[in-house]
Amino acid sequence: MGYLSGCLLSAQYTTDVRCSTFSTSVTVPAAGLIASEFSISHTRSLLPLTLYTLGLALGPLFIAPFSEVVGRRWVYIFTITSLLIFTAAAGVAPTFSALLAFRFLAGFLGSAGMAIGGGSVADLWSLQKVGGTIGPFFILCPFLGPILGPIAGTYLIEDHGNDWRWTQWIVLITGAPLWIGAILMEETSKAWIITHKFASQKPATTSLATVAQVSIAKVKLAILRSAKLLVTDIVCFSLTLYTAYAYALTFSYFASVPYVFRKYYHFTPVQSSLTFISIAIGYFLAICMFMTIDKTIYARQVRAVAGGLPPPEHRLYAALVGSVFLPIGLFW
Amino acid sequence: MHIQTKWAYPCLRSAWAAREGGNWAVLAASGIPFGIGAFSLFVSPTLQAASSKPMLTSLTLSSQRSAIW
Repeated sequence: MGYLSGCLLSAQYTTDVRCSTFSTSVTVPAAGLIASEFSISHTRSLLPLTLYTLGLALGPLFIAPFSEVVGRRWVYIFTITSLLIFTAAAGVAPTFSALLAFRFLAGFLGSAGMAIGGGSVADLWSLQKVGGTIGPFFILCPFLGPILGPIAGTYLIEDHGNDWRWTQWIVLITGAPLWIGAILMEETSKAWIITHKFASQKPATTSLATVAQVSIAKVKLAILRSAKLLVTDIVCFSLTLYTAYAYALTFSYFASVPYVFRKYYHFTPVQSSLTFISIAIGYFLAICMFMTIDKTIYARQVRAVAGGLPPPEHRLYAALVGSVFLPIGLFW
Repeated sequence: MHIQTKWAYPCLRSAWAAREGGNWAVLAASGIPFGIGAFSLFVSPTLQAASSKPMLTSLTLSSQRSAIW
């Protein structure tokens, strides 16, 4: 595969992840409008965000294992198609219940790219130095999506006569080129390509029922592994709890900070949404910190240990720094 | 307990920039340390989990991310 194809595929993967996370928070500025259209409370109007995020958390667990059976390309096509269909359905939802259902399905079925994207990028660039540059940017994409969502949503709502449905149309507009890209993309999973090549040399005995059986077994295994890890390993449980708390804080920040800016500083919705750029700056600085730690402290540990695999705890240096910065940001 | 409350309240009150009369830029800048903290606390434990249980996490998000670091 050529350098240009690699770059295009990497752009496809990263934009796919950005699209599914962008869709998470794009409805935040529309909460008030949703509340007034469907005559519901402000708290209930935040449910489209909540249910989409819930789908985003559970979906990859069920959908991503299929990539080992049918290849990554088909999983990408399925997830992007599902994201676009259910986002369009949410955009025309006649009732609040329908909106919630479609948002959940869009998150659940359309987010597997988050789980398989990292592996896809790694397969493309693992043998080349450029992977070290693309890797951090890929990790940044799921985080930049929720920052860009409220900013884009606020501008769109203001420019289209307070029509909250434009928060769904923007996902369709940015997602349509991704769908075309997914149709045209090549399979990049090394494991799948090797298996497929071996299979093509043998008589074709793989039926649809066998594929379904293997897929279900993989899904079961993925869920059982995750559940087992969560309930049997106290370190994993504690870190998951802490990570979940940090993620929840990020989304609380999106809902609470605009309120503070409007109430105390009399900002317009557009002005208050622009304050999220500071979080994006924080993310970029965190990436720089990660790369510095990786090249200095962690690299020293790798050199010091025979086999080049230091204990996993050495991966937590950045979390040590982050655990100090998070309260600083909250009590600023 | 009384001393702690006595000192804690003014400290927290003066530390929180979101109040009338405060500078909006100060509050907006609070997103920078928040972003550093949230990002680090999400990615770093994920990498730790992937390094400690590579077999158990082979199908999860963590291993996919660790593969590119």
